[in-house]
Amino acid sequence: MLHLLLKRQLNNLELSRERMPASLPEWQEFLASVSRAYQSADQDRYLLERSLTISSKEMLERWQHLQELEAHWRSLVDCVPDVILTIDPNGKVLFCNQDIGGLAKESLVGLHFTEWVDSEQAILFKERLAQVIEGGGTRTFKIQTQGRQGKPLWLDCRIGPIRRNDRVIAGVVVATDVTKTLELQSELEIQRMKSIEASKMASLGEMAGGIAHEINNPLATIQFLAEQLEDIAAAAGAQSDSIIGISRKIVGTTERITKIVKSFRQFARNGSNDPYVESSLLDIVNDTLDLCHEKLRRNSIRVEVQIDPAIRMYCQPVQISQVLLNLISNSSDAVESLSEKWIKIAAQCHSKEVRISITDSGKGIPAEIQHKLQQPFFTTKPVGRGTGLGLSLSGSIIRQHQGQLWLNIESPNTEFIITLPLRR
Amino acid sequence: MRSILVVDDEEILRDTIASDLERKGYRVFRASSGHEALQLLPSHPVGLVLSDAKMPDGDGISLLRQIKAVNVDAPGFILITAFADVSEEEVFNLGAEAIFPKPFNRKALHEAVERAFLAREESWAARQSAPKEVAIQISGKAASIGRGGACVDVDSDSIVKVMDWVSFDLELLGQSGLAHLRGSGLVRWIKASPDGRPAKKMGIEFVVLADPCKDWFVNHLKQNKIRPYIPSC
Repeated sequence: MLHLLLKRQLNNLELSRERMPASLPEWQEFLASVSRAYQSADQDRYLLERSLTISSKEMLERWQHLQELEAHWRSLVDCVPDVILTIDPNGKVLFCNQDIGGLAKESLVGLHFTEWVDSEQAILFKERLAQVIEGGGTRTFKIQTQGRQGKPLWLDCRIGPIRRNDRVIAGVVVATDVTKTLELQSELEIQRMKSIEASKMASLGEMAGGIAHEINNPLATIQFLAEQLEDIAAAAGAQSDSIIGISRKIVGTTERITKIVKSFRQFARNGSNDPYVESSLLDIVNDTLDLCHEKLRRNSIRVEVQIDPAIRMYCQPVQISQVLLNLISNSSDAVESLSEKWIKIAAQCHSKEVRISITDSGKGIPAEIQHKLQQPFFTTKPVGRGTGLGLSLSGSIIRQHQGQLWLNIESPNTEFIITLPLRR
Repeated sequence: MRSILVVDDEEILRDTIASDLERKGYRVFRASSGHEALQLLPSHPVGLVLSDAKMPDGDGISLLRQIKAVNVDAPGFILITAFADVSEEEVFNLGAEAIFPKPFNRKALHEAVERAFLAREESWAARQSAPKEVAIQISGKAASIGRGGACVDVDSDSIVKVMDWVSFDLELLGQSGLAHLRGSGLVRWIKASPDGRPAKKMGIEFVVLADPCKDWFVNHLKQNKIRPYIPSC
């Protein structure tokens, strides 16, 4: 630059190869030109340096501002209780703000979603991601993944686009952990069903009381008259044997009706607050069978009971009867269409517990549904036949008794086993 | 003549029982409600009331309360109930001598009726239906005593059910010191422990009393005006 300035100053002097400064003033003028050129260059340099200083200061400020912004957004993203992920169009995780269940956020980066989302939901995930990458807009969906200690984790997800120059280059996923909410919802639903069941049982109990009263009154008359008849016949002499036989049959039948009414009334009560009393297991089983005797007979199901009458245990008899009735009724439904139909109820005492087994002629329960048996609302029965609560309620009654209820998968037939402590 | 008042709103049953008892030689009056029974009682010589529990116009329990509230020599009372809306413990504590759930055995009713008319001294002899040998032994303290039984604090882990026959040996602290009551009888009710442990309190109806205890017991009843048949604990 100095060279250019010098050249211009010398041009002003109209000097050339032929015409060199000849006199002293000409030399003075020449040197002054050189000095002006230097001055002008100095001025330019000064201006340049100044503008450079200003712009680098500005850059520093802007950089600092950017850093502040970044920190601001990062703390926002870190503080959000939800999971925030960015995902490239192929489905790989680019960024994640927090751990998901048992997966650390660092280990998630680089993983494809199929590696951490359950296979069924991965299809849904893929579909939603494709929709967002192609068309923008946001989509919502629910996915399940593995949480800590193998517990399933449910995430409510919203996915939206990240754009650069009007082109979607990635997806952002905001996922809320709804496992607790779902658990609470299902717990609430169970409570609701239980209270419906309880109020149903309460009105049934009231009805049973009314029926007992209405039936027992005429029954008392029938029994009394039949017994009187027997006396009269006996007094009249030997040829009245058939009358005695008939009146005894009448008495026997009234006793049977009495027993059914009693069992029904017992069963229809809500027994959950009953005291624990020492009871004979065989009595409980027989009382329960009285209630479903007719149904079993109608379906020609053979029932075999192998229980030692000496087995006595502390329990709430009505509750245990409810569990047994449920298992017997399940068995009866399961075997009614089979050619071989039987139910076997057996019990054995071990040192401190009694083991009751209810086996039917069915060939067991498919492995894929075994783990769902005691889940509330799980049923294999047609709509209107089962609530899906039977085994779940039975399980909770047995657990309240400090016992266990399970399916014996080693049995060649369908066998449920209940263990109950003999003493509390 | 021994007379009985049969109270039931169920006409057929009332007449059936009444005429059967008449055939047995009793004089029988009939009433269709507790209310009617109370009106009839002052003017009729009745030794025993046989009443249904649930009746629209004055139920059997109120009738029992009102009859036994008058005096200890009130007529005997047998309650017949079609549907237990009152506990046996309460009925015996109110002073009833027996309770029959409908339907009931006719011979058992006859026996209870006969027994209600026996003099106190005679009534502790063996009953026809009492078994010769009783397997379950109960010993403990009689917490309180009634005209026909006691509420017993059992100190063993005995396993008994309602209506089991038991032979008993009970300690009783009376005015004349510690007495022993020996005999056999029926477990009428058991109070279940709320915490699920074996029952410790039960109502035992005395059926047979050993000779020395019999006199002591009859004397004890004469001296103390006791209303409950089996007291509740």
